[in-house]
Amino acid sequence: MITELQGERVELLAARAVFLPRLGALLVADLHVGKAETFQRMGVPVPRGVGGADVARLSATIRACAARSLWVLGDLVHDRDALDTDEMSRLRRDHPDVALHVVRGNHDRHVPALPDAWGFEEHAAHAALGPFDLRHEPEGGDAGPYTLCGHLHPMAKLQGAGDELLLPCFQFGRRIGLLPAFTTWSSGVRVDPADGRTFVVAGDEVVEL
Amino acid sequence: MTDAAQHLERLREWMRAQGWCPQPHQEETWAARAAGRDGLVCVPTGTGKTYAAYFGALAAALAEGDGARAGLRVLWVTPLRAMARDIEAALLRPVEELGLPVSVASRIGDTSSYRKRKLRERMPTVLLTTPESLSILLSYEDAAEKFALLQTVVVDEWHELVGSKRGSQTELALARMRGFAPGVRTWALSATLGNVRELAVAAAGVASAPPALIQSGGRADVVIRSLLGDEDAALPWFGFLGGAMFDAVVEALDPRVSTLLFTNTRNQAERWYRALLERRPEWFEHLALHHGSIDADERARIEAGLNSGRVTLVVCTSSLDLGVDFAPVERVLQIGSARGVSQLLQRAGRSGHRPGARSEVWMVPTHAMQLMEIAALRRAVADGAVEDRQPVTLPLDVLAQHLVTCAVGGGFDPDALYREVRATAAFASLERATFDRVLAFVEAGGEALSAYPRFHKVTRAAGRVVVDDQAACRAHRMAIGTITQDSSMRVRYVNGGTLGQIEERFVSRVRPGERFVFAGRVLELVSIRDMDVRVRAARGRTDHVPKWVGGRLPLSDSLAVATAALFSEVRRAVEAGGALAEFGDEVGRASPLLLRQAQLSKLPGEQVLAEVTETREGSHLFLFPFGGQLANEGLAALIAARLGAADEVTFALSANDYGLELMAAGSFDFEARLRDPELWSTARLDDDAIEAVNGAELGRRQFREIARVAGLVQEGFGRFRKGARQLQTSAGLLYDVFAEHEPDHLLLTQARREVLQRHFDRDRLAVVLERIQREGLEVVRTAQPSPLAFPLLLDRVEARISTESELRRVERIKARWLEQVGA
Repeated sequence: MITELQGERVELLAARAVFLPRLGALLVADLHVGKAETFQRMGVPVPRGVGGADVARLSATIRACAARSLWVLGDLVHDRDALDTDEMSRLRRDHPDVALHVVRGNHDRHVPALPDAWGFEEHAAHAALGPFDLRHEPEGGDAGPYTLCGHLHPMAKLQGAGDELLLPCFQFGRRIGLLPAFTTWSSGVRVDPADGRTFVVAGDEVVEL
Repeated sequence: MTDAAQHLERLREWMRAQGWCPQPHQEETWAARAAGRDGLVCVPTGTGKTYAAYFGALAAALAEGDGARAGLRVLWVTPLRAMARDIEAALLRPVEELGLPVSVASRIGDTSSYRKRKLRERMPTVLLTTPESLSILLSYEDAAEKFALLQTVVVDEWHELVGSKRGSQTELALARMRGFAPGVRTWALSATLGNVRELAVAAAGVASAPPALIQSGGRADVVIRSLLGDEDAALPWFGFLGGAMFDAVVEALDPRVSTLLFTNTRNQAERWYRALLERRPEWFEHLALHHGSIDADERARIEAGLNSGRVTLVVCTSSLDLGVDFAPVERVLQIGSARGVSQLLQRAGRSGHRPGARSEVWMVPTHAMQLMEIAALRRAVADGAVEDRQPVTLPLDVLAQHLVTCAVGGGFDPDALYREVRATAAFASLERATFDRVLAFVEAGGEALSAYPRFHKVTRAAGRVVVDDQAACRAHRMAIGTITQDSSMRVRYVNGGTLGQIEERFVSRVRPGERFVFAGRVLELVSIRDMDVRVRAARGRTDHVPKWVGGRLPLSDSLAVATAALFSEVRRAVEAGGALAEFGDEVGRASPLLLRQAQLSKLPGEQVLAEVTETREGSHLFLFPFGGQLANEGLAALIAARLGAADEVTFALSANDYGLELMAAGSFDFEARLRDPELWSTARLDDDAIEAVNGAELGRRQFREIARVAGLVQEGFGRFRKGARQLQTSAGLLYDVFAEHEPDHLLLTQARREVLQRHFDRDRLAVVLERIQREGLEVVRTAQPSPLAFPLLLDRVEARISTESELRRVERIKARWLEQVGA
């Protein structure tokens, strides 16, 4: 799904990511790497490979749009257990020429600093990219550049014609735009489709409501 | 005379001194216990089954002489904490009055930790406990020693436990105690059910000699009446609150006549209590509300008030079905469906249950079709059509919990424990390979944690499976109670005083300053701290009343069959031009509705009735096999899966006790597809059922409970609890994670199997399908939903089966939105 935001051409991907073709930048939010390992540490036997599937999808998406940079809008990791995983260093090795950035989110605070092998440039509160201000939580935007952020894991409920669906979505309000959680292992906050332009992820497609 | 016989004679004399004559069933029970048998006593409430089981056990303990005090001799297991106090009083009474050298104590969830510690140091002769507390006792390291002298276990209200996982938990605990004290005898007490023999074996275990079955002769003498109100008081087509009959009920109540008003849910009880209080504030002193979430002290006060005559009108739920021996009341009202013959007999038995006295119950219908159910109920009672209650088999989540309990409680040898577990009826068919998989799951978390030795809860030492981490032991003990409860929070006043328990899910939707009704009071939420909900009393009214999960029970088989049969007869009478009045008051009263049904559609007859209709929402199929809620839900999912296999289509599913609905979004030609005999085929039934379970997400729903029991989701780590935020996830999401990454996981398989058992009882489903194959459907195209179809439209469950792409569904919903905007 291709649309325009703040005069910038924006591609909304069903992989739950935003691609900015002019800048070659891929934007995702809320990866929660290492969530399964945190559960396992607490003795909850969730299967292995849960986080691996998310990172594999991220890697494929970077390749598919030939991104030159990746921007993670916070909650790259779930907890410190993420440091025990090697998925992110593998991502680094597989895409040596891609610049990796993360705007730190609330979960990222569990980790004082990311391992060098991950190769991420860390931004404490926000980062500027083209006409956008990249943040984790939906704040700012009143004055200054338009905010793109994650944190909420937005979902839209569609109801009608005797059917009902709850789907992850992108939502672009007047001054703030929300990205869906990249990880599939999460529920989210339900947003009202009337609060902005809302695009849902329906299988392999992104559809505007 | 043996020692035990002498002690029994003394107890018998004590009974006579109270003016009670030992009943034949009591003598029989005492004799069987003296002969060293296990058994089951099945007699009406209030006829003395407590002492039937108790005196045999007590006599055996007293025969030990001074040894009676040496340790635990009699264990009394009751399913309800609410009943513990009354039972303890009953157990204590002869002991105190005769000055017997035994001690009696209870250990339940409410017991203070100081008392619990004292009890651990020194066990009483007679201990009263719940299944959960029993499991906790078994989880102490010296369990084997503590239970070594045990002679008798009494399981009270066994019928309440047996159809649930708490029943399986109890079976496993019983087997464990037989291992610790090989001579121990088990006596179960039960209300009347169809399959008492099976229940007796479940209590005694399959490896013991056949248990004695003690039943009182004669059929319960119950009179069923209906409260119908004014001739012109019209009942709605749908509803389960019963507002239409409110005036008639107020009219019928009299604070001078002691009365129980049974409702089917706690929510309904709260609403009736508030409504009565608003209409008749002068009844305040006499009116009370009693249900399982209300604080135990408050319930005890109500029960005492009922005994003393201060409280005369009690709105209650199944919390008063059970065997607390308060004085019989003069009148019993049942608001809404009776659900089953057995439950009705039990509730009716609360009135006039002196030997020889007749029990009477007034039925209060909440909607018009229920009139038919009441008429059918009267026949089913007369025919003695008491339901069976099926014990749960092979609940691996409960087994997983039990294995940890045994590992914590002194450890076990896997071979010996496997034999022990197999001696229960629940696990009689357990294969060694499955046992080993469950053991591997608790030991190493299955595949997932096998690479992380530091996560392992359970370890091996010299061939025995043990837990040596004290924190893990404590965590497990805390988790044991979770078979019964959803995560609940304590409701208390800001200035102290506890009101009871409320579900976290409800609280999470109330904001500070908002009002809600609980324990019959209007309250204002002040704050939520840890697991406490702080409230203060508020004025005025509010419709905000909590709903507790697991509120509504399905109609029993017997009652569903009897209702279907009555419809058939009524239809023949209508077609023959006969009068409906001859079927009794209820059917007479329902006749406008029945005639409307006949006019808009047909009355259900020999063939299964199918109605097909179109509304603005889409195309609807209504089918009325009268299979009961669970089987109808299963059938709906099965048909939807079969129809969806051929077409790309999305169905919304709905089911109640009488029938089911499939609604296709957009238009769908049900009539043509119903003629396809493949739709009703019993071939591939098992495969299609599994397909349906996955499609309708039934497995996902069932997984919630399983994940909790097996310790996968820790309910204590709720939204309001400090810390452990990183562990927040829902069972539903965990189900998805497992389904994707470890689809044959033990607990996932368990969830699917339970759904198949609950909703797709193969025999029942095959009976319906074969009936439709043999006799065909009676398909009627209706211009609008009929009275029978109407409730299915209004009370739709949130289940869907879709074989369409999400994209197509989104596009259709969007198109409908645009239409509406255009219009």
